[in-house]
Amino acid sequence: MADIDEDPPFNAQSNVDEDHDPSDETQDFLLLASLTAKSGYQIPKRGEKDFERHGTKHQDDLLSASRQAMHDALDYTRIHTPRVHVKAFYYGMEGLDRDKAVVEEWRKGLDDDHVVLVESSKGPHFRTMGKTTLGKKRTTLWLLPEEALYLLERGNLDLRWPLPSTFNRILGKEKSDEILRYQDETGVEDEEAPMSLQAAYAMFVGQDSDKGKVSLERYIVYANLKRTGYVVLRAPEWEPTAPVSRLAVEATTESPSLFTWLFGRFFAEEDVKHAADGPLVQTGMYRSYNSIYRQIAIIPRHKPSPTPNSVSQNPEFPYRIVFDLWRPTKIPTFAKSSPGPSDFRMAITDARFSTIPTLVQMTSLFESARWEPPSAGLTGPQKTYQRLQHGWRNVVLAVVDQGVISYLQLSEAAFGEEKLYERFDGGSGHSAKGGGTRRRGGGGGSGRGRGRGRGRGTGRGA
Amino acid sequence: MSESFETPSEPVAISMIAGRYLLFDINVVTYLRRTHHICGVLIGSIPQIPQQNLFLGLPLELMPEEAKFLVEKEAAYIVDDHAWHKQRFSTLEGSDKRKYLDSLRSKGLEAKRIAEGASRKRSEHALAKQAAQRRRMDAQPEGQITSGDITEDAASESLFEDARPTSPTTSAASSKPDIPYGVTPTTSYSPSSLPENTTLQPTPLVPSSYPLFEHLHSRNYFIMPGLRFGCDYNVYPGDPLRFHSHFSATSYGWEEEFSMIDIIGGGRLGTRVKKSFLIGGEDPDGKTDEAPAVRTFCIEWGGM
Repeated sequence: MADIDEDPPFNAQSNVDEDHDPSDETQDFLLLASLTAKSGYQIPKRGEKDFERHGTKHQDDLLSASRQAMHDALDYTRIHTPRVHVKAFYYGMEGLDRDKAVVEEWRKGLDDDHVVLVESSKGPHFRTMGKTTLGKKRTTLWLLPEEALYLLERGNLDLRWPLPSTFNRILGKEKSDEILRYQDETGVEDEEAPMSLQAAYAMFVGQDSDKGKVSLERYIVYANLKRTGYVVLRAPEWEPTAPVSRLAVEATTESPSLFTWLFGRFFAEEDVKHAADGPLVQTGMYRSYNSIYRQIAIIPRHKPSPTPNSVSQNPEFPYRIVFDLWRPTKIPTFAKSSPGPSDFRMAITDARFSTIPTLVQMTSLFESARWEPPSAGLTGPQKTYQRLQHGWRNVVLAVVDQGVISYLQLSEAAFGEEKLYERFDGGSGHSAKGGGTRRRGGGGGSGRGRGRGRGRGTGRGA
Repeated sequence: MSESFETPSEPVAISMIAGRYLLFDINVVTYLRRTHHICGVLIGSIPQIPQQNLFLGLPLELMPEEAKFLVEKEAAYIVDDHAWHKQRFSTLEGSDKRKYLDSLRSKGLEAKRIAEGASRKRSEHALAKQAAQRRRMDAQPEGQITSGDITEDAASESLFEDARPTSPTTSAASSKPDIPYGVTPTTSYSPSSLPENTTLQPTPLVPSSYPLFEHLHSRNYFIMPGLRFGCDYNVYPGDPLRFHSHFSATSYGWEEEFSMIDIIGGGRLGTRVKKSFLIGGEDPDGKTDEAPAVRTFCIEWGGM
């Protein structure tokens, strides 16, 4: 098991062409063996399946063999060898409730949803998972429902129903006077009963608002991302009541230079006045395209802004951030306590019970994403398309339909920032830019993305 | 080729957890697939190869349509798994608990025996190889011919084969107390503790596309969720393990008006992914007791 843990995360994206996403279809389990380290992670090729039944014995035999391979692969019992055995105990509502079984001073720093106590934190996973209690010299490590379920599922956790004496036994491993008082009084040798995978699902999967539970769609997205290799943590917005930090952006954008402040005003577009009737372009003498185009630009365009729109509301589920993600490359230096800014922010929605977000939902969702204006290098007319593709704010939306996940990337695009007409006059238009176009409203974010199958973690539409 | 797995007896139990329908028993999964053409979607990790998303493991999630179909056929019944586990494990003590622990204990001992057997076999094999090599090294200066090498090697190999049965695996580590490996079972049900089919759970709520599902399923198609191709169902002529899908199917109401654009979009996408775009709906007046009156149409690109 240990050598499996150290396998590099295998990403379907690594060597796949655009049109063939192997996770789009049901895989033939006969090919499972081809995914092992020995064969160098060969991805099964498309086209090895048949188009239709033709009633031959050969075809039936192949199907039989595939079903048998699937059966054999899934008929697997999770065994914990002593070297990697990590025991954990379930302190949820149904059994021994954590808040009744563990005195408050021993669970400082935990969230309500930390309902699984880990006995020993060996293994690479606890670098990015779990939370350690505060305030005592002897600390304990606790897991969230999705963390415990994921570790159990991949065979790294021996989860059990605790006995009343369990917590003190674990503390008692460190000889502390305070603990010795709590020795088991009954003296009967009893053992904590292991939880099955099924029991763990029954206990951990529920409504997100319930204590110690996670909904199935959030869990399968979590597990899918973890299998791909990402570090996944609950976002602060997970709590429905938590106020969303509207990411007030520090004043990093430099104030406009004195020149543009003074002269920009002469070119500012709000000055364009139109008569109640008559042509849009005033009759007269024009020496630049700029002044004409400015007059005919009457449709307001969206302009990304670092400060949140005061009228927008707090985002609500499902269009509210749930997870923060960090790339697998960050793992070696990752610290749970200070993870730093995440690489991706994710919201999750159920395909069967939700519609596409309204402009209001989209706007408030974007406002909890980081403000990422194009880098300084992304200037000049040659980089127009890169700038158009750049998301000023980005959110990944996971759409779940009965166990099937598609990731979409939503980006706030700024088409209004690319004024092509400014180039027609040969550079004269650039000074107008700093004057600040005060056009608001309208545009909103433009959704960009495409349905992608499992494992396409980044799902970055190009 | 005959398939080797246990055939569960109908009706089988479907776990309902937080409104989702899940299966945890691989024998049930295989059985439903083979007998009722019900595939579901695997959503769990495979512990053997956990860092990938191509091959997934138990549990298997059933669409509400699939659960409803099985329940109406009396091939399955639904268990509120949360309540069942809460009831069973909060009261698990005494002989019941002993029995549960003992069964896991014997599995854990078995696993340990196998693991130790395998590792001993490996080390014996390595030792035998080493010994053979040493002998070869010793023999080489004497000017022995290469064919002798081979016989020597073969001899040591057969010696090893002979030696294996004489050291029974059970004698391993007999000095230490036999501590079984930890075992996490997959399912909580055992033949003795199968939840009873008494508490009547409401029939699963299904979307309005259910008649189309039922219609296609009754014609021996295999049906999977359609999200990846932007439709209600992905329809296969045989088990998706071995067949590509033929149709991407979307259900409409009999009198429902829908945009021409939907047909263009579905048709183009279907053609692009080598499927035929299928639309279908139920005629509310043509319904009989046996079957809903569903009509289906396929839309393909003419390529004129």
